[in-house]
Amino acid sequence: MSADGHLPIDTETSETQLDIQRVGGRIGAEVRGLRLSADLSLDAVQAIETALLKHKVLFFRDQHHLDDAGQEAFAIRLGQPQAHPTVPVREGTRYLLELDSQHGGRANSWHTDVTFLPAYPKASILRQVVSPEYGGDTVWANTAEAYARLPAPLKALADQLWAIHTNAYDYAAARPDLSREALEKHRAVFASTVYETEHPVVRVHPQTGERTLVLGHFVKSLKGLSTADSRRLFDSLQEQVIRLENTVRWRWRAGDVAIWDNRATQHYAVDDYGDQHRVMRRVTLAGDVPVSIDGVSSRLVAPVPPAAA
Amino acid sequence: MNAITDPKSFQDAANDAGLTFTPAGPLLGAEVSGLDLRQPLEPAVVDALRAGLTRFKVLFFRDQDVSHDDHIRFGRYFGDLEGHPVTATVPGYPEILHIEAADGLKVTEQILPYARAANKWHTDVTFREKPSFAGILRARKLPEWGGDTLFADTAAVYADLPQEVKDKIAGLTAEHDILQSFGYRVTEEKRQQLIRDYPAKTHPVVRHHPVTGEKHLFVNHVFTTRILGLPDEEARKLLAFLVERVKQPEYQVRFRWSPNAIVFWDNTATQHYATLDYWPHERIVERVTVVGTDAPH
Repeated sequence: MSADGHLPIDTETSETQLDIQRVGGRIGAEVRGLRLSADLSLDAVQAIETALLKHKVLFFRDQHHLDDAGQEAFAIRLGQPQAHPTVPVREGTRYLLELDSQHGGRANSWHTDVTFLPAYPKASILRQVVSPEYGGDTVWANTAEAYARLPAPLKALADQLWAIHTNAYDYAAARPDLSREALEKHRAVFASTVYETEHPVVRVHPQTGERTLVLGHFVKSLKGLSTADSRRLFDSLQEQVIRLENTVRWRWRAGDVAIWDNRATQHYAVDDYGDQHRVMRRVTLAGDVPVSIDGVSSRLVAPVPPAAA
Repeated sequence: MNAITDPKSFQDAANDAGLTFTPAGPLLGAEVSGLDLRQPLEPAVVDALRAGLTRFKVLFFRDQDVSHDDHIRFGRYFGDLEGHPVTATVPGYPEILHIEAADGLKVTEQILPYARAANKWHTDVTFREKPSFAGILRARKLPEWGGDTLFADTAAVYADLPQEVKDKIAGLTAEHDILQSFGYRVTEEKRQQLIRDYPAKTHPVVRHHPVTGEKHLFVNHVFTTRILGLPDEEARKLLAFLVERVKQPEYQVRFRWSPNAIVFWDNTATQHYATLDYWPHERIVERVTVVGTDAPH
């Protein structure tokens, strides 16, 4: 480990050299000249994994050859695909989540995918199928950098905190623009089963050993604090995560694929394209249960797990 | 109607001048192609750029290897130029600001938190009675990665405020003070001079754009010290609420620099933020600033 607590990640050890261009100063890289598919060599897959751990989000332009089946088949090379716990998969696929702007598929608030479950996904693979003429960028934030750059007293504070994450978060407050009908639909599908999970605010990344901040819009409260204290403390830590220095903004073209390490990032889908059509399809890969810096695992609070019921 | 306010005649002006404006997003920002800023510009081109600036609020030019004299000449098409009370200038060119994260000091982890205010959302020089109309920034030395500049549309920020907030801030004024950002980075002697030469100025919280008349939120985190005419606690909370609004990504465009890129922004319609994510690499940019001719109203 280096002095700042990071495991050195050496992208040079893999035999396949990727053409990698960094995009942001602290997060994000574009990988050029690679055709994503199930047929990639083991070396190429390992090179992608290594680059992903280092840069947290990777961008691949012009992957027009990928269809739904191709995206799923490629995803299997990186991990175990997993359907969304409450939203039905796209018809004819096993795992694909479709985000269609015409059906309420907008996510313009900062979050890490599915943190209302203990073993939330380790990565997501997102493909743009229909591009608006302009607008609809996605922004990612590096939660490992955010932790690493906290002043020591704030690190010590965050290290001790636990948060309760739920999919029944206040969606109406986050999306005041939505109709009651859309809100009802959201509750009926997205929050059809209400999950609550306790996660440490500081998670040790299972592969890099980096400490990351686990926050985002599924957080309902910080354990053991009053609502007001909880809100204030959440806001000040969340603000550290999304400082512009920790972020990268990607302007999509149809055929682009982004892969992010969901254990080390949050993201935000910019909702600025009005009535233009935008379609994204996502495969998420199964992750493991987070562990705090002192070795305590996240746990499901609701629904009450069968063993404890 | 003229080329500034009418979209159709704007397009005609662009066509006449042989310029292409490619929008960078739905709200603001466009990349301009079809011109060489090393050469003097025809009046039709200047008109089209003026109209484009009003329409897109920030214009991006690529691969313009301009000299210092070219940079100054370009700025003068749009008005008189001004220097800056604190920021260093390029030797021999008092009209060109030399901007880097720590004003020529060696940036260290210790200095980083105090590095210049450019990595906070702000409109330039709102401590002046007549804040500048436009800034023209060119990349002189870029880091290998990072150092993007973001711009935000303050008309859209205003338009999306809740109606009760719009009602509340209509007619309110706020104080803007250079000391709040630059005051702690200068010697005591310079500080005393700034206090004498740049007393705090009062501006409306909502300003009308000098060309379009559109309403813009006109308070910023860097220079606005307080909202006047309200109880202290209420004024403090309202200002904190207002300066946060610009942070929503929907209002922003993020520009990734390339060698010899130039950015030209309407300082009456935007705020901007220079991302400080490239340390320990160096980033030097040079700015020509076009004076404002009106006090905000």
